[in-house]
Amino acid sequence: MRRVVVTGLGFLTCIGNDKATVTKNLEELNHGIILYPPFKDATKPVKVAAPIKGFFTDSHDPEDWTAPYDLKLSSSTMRGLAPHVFYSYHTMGQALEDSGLSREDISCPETGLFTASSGSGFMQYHALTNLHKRGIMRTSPGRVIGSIVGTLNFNLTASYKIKGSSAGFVSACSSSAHALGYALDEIKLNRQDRMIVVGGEDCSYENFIVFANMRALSTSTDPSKASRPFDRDRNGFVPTGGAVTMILEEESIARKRGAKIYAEFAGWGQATDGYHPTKPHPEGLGLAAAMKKALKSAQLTSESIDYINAHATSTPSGDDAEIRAIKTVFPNTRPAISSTKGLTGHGLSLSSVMESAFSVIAVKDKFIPGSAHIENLDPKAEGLNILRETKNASIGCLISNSSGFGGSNVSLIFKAYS
Amino acid sequence: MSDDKEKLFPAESSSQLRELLKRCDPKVIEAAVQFQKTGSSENIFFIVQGILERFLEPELRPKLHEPGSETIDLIEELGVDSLDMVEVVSTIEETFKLSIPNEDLLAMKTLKDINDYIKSRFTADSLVTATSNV
Repeated sequence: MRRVVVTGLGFLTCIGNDKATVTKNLEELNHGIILYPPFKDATKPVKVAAPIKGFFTDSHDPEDWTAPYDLKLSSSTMRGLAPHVFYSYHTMGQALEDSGLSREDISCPETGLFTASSGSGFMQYHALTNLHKRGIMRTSPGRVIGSIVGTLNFNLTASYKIKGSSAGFVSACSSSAHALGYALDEIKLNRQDRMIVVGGEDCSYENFIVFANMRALSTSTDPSKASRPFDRDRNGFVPTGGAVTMILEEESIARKRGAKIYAEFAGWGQATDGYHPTKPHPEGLGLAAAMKKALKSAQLTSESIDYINAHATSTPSGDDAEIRAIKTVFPNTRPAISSTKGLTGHGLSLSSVMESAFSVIAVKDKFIPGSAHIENLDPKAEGLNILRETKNASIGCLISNSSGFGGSNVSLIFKAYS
Repeated sequence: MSDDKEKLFPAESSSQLRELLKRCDPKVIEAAVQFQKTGSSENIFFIVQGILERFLEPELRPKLHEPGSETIDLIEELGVDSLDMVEVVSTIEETFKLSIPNEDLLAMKTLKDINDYIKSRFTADSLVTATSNV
């Protein structure tokens, strides 16, 4: 059976726009959460968010957008973008450089691209408003392209001349975990030799605030306390956006070209709660099943797992469900556990690939990031080895969890590569 | 004639026009504003060329000013992306307050074609026709 390894990463996140900065902030538990200016006035029920820095995409006219350096995108391309797609060009460039692959290397029938995003409500809103206000025949084709959920894959496959498999995944907060899992299968099933996986979410006011009336967002006014997975007093998640690219390759191909290898992507599993459109099953049944399937796919037992990068978003019910699921699957061992959402907040469709990228950095650099901002551990988490500080340790095997709306649960397994 | 022009181009449309053409060369914007006031056909070519230039990649723009540029096939020879052509046409329609039917559009391959077409829509006799398309 073919083996798959991670060979390149690119980041545009609230804790850094490059691997070195991200790594430092993961180790030192420096968060990227701020008092978000658009939430400042008294009418806004939430105050904190975790925006990215350096990339200006507030205008609904893409030709106004700027990055800290020239991304070398034609104005024709710019006209068809959404903010998260703009961010992804930065992460694609970084991941290619990181992996030592050229644009020519990835434009071939054996290389595919899977993406995950919830699309751009921001661009869609403006495009539809324009359609109604100025007329059907005044709707710019570029704006239509930028408004459709799949805009991330259509733009990247065109720009990078991707000829292999391509698709977008839409399963809310599990989306990029699905993208990674199915990308793994593409390589294991011998359909592709290399898969690029990109997750992206806008950092717009609209993208963030829509969850406020679901009472899912933290109402905390203190950025250093707002995102606190597993804390007894957690009160909701902190929204974030950005983009992350991860490059997966078949092991022998990666070795043959002398690629740097972060970790092996060893297996994955998924299962659904069948319970509620947004709430997880209280017993975490779907997530427990997903973890068990992931272990089976990687031919591992629960005893092999050293670290769980939890989904835990800092919501009361979500973290609870995961605590139960972990206790179900790991009754006899105490793997280290942390949720890096304490540092980044919740990136929705972006979160799984972002956290998987964090996890493989931890494998390579031999540390386990702590679960930040816990003042009082939730009593229900009693007995679990939730790290309050970063620990220097070699990770042999880890599980990265994601749970999304609709009760989807996906668990991914990464191993130290040997 | 001036009453018809005012119905076609009310005063407030000048600021909308400037917004629409904001990434065009300033001389092109002024020519378009003047056209809306006077209806004079002498600057039609200059405006159309300026709109096309705005949507063209920087490295292709010099080609619009070379001899013979008015008869170069925009999509096949100049390499204008077909979706960008839609943006060009849409902007031309909005600038000249025209609606160009698909059949007429298919026949327009060069700058000269576009220029001739717009001029024909703005002869003294056809101003009424143009009004009815708004």
